[in-house]
Amino acid sequence: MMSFSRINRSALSELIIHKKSHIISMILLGIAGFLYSETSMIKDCDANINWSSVFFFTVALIPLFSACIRVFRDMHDVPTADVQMAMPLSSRERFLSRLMTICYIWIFPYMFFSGMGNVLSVLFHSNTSYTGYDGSKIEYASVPELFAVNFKVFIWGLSAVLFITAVTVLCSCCIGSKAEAVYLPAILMIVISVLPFETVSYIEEKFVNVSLNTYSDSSILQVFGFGAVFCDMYEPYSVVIVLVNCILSLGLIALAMFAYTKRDAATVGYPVVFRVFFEILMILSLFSLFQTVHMSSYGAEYFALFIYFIGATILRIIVSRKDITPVKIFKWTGVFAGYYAAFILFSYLACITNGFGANFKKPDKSELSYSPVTVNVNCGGMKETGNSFSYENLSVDAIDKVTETAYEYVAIQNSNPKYFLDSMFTGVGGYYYYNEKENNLDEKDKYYNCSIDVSAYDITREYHRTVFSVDLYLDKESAENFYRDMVELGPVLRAGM
Amino acid sequence: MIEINNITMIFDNKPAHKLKKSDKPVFDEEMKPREKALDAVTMEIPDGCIYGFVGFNGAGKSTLMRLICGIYKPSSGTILVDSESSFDNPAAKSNIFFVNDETIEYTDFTLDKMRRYYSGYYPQFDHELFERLAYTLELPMNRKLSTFSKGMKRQSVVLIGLACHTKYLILDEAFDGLDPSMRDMIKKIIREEIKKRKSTLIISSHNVAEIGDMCDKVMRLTRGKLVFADELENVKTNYRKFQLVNLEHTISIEEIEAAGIKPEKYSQAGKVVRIIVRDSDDISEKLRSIETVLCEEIPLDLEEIFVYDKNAEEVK
Repeated sequence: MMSFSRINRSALSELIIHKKSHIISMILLGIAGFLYSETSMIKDCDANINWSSVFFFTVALIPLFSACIRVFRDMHDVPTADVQMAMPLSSRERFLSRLMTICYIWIFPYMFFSGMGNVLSVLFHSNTSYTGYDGSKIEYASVPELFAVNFKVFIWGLSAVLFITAVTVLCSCCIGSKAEAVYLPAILMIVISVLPFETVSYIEEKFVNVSLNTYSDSSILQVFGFGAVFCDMYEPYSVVIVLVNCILSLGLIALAMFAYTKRDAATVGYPVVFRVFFEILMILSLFSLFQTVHMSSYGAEYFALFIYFIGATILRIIVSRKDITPVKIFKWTGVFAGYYAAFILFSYLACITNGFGANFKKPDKSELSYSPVTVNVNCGGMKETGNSFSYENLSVDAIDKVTETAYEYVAIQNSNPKYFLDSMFTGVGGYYYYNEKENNLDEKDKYYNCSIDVSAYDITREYHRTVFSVDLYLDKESAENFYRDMVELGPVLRAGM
Repeated sequence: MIEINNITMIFDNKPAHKLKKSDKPVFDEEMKPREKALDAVTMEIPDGCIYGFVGFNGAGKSTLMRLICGIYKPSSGTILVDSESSFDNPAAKSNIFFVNDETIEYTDFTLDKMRRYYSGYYPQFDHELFERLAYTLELPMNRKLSTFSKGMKRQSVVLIGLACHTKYLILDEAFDGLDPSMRDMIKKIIREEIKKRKSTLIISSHNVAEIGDMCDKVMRLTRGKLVFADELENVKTNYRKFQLVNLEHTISIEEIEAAGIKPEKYSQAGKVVRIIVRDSDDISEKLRSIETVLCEEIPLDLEEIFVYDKNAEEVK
């Protein structure tokens, strides 16, 4: 039977050991909290967040990272494991007491000082007004408005805190040596945060002609990792994304608890206790690196792959300590080749499914608050028909009509033969590659690069941005049809105004 | 009572750099090193006794202690502390205090900080006893343990162990490296406290002389196997030590062997010869056949038994 009093008592005992981390965190978070009180918001405008407080908060994340490793050192330090595992607690209670210690060291002070900053900011900067230089009356936001913004900032920070805690604790529970407890969480945090964005960019650049990152649904990528911190807090969906991010981090902590309860002190000292964990980390980080290779190093893929192989092997050598044999290095080479084969398979699936169906997505209706809309059409290389033209000052409804026509031609393009290896190693869908070599090809193999860019003035964000873009590689006949259709679409688009 | 039933402990894939010289790793079918730290050990530790675990480095004493404390999960077999498994069981663990063979984890502590730390885990912590013993041992309360001598560190940890007031106190190599006077002082304190509160003390050492004089019962492990576990007096009766004197000449080993006695150890100092032999029914009769002016049995200490057993093991 779990006992909360036992958990809390032991957490408070552990706090005695981590007094220094506690004091450093309190000082940094205290400064961040006080500086945050300078945050203000003028009615109907964005909040003027005090960025110095964000800086101090970010610096305070370093003692959090360190505290997470030190609090769970019973997983990677033999004398500590002897002392702590002999204590009268079940493994689950011990895990929860360690988490509670982290709460005492960092999370509770964060809650306290951000709450204090919130209250002070509301006290100083809400429901008041002042007269501007031009004599106009400037009003601050009301208490609920400012409080809501401050609360958002708080959960934004909390998502980062929970993510760092979750990944660091998970790593500590899955490995048994101090060095790995430090560098593996750092790698995993970067990989988790970067991989979703990198995967989408890779698929988009290589196998999809529709730009995905202009859609609001790319925010789904921010539901885990540090991505949530960059989520636009004024978007209505952003709170959901950040909350989901927090929940996923809690899920990772639950996974860490599972790993923790499966261990005893016999595994303390082994660099990697759960091999599956390490291999997942390896495959995720290598996928991330493979994608970088194929996106950025045209012509140098094999050299980059060799460098990554060396890097991965060094990491395995570090993890294996002195226990290295030629057989092992041979095995690691095989594993590396296996991961690369899995990556090729993944890319192939992305190619034949047109980016897992991503190139037929439409802009989110909830985003259609743009005005006015500009459509640029370009058909480079078609000397007979000219190059480009544009429609300006269109209504929001024009977006739907343009995307409809664009997708007709995306479907035509997708019916062309696919050149997987060319698209993976050379360029978009292989079409670009063939277009480049047009002098050596028959007319039927030539492709023309046509594109549509729809941009609009985003009222919410107050800037002009691209909301939809598509690159098409069409044969001559289709390209001409596309050009004609887009010309004929003009009056239809204008009619909607 | 602690019941240890057929306990085997295997450390899977112990990395090469973690293996001590004394470790004898065995290999599984895939030629991965597997260290069988304990092999089918069965014994009982009754309440209220002082139990000594003896054996050379790497014999498995510390592993067995960690299993009793629930620090390791056994590969097979069961350990019951007052009829409850100690692994992952706070109720059973609350009756045990373990002092391992290192004090490095305490170096950042002051004695006062240690008191606060442990009293959070052991609500029955005896503050009065802690203060009294700290005063007796002249241990400073507010100095970091990193500034203490090795002996003072060990004293501090033992002091904490006693103050936690658990039914079972387990000390792993508690007196290792202590000078004789300090060792005697700690022994005295422990013995008094343990006897007073009728607790059970389990104490290990690779140096039998350190603990031989304080144990009621003793067990010996060799390469993870239990060699014996018995009352100290019963263990001693397996071997006997005699002192023989002949004023005319020094009794040679051949003379003794001619009498049908095979000594485990033969030593001489002038005309005085000392032999250690395995006990047998006819040993006195055989000794009488040797011409002596003095033939008497003298006490055998645990360390001597330990050494001869090791020799016997090596011969095997």
